[in-house]
Amino acid sequence: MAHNRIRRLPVDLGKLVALEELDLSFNSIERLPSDTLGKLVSLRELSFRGNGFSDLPIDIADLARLESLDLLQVRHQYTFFFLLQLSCFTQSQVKMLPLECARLKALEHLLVDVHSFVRPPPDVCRRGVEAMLKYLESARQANIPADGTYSLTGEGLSRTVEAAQMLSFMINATDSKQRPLPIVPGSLSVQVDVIQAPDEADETMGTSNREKGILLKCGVFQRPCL
Amino acid sequence: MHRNKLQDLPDVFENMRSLQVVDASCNSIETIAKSLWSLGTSLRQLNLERNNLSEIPGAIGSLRSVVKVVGAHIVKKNKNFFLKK
Repeated sequence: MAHNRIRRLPVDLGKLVALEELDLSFNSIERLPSDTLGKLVSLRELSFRGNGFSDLPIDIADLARLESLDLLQVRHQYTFFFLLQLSCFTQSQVKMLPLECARLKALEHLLVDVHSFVRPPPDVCRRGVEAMLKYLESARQANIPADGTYSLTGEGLSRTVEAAQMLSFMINATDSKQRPLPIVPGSLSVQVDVIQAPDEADETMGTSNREKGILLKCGVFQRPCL
Repeated sequence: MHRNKLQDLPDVFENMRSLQVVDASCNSIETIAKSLWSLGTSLRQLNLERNNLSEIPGAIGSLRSVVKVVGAHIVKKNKNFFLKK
């Protein structure tokens, strides 16, 4: 049903349990329903290219057979007086994949706007689908909070440190005077700083054989314009 | 029915219980005929690309056997542009 003027999807779409290919590209879909797409258990190929929504529902991660997902935005091109040509993307676009998308193990092809993507960040996106899924899996397992400071030990510690290392390339969002940029909802990323545990943490944990606690300081920042 | 000037999908599907493919792409269809939903056990492929549809009726849920709701932008045709594993 590509190239129509469809604005919303019916909940009953989820009843198409035999559906393998769904092309809804170049419509005007502003929001995807929850608990609908995830029921399309046979779906292998899905295209939402050139629509207006900016959020993917979490249940898209239930599409265990999904091999191809197209989230590319259309580039509009305007020509003025046959001389000046302007190109721009649609304003609303998907910039983040839900962490749950790490479960899309069958995914082989994924088309996103790499340059403007926030999660995973562009340098991970450029490494391909496998790197993107690995990134999402690490972030999901670490259960990194949106904001605040917390400490972990044992198995949880190693998982979190690994995730922190993966996230370490994220941009330190401060201005020229090292002040944090104001937070703008919708364009956020997580910055993780790994800090060695203070002495008090060692005392609390007791025996010297135990793994050292590490404090992770997590903050939510706006990604600066590149 | 591909590439015509149809403004409505004709209500002619009631007795076509074995119909497997409906291609009404490249028309000006604004509403889908109700009788299309009676093809729930036979229809496998539906192509309504490039029309004037503003909504998908909830009755689409009755097409239990449909495998492809296709258009030109199915991924395989654009394979080279995709990030691959």
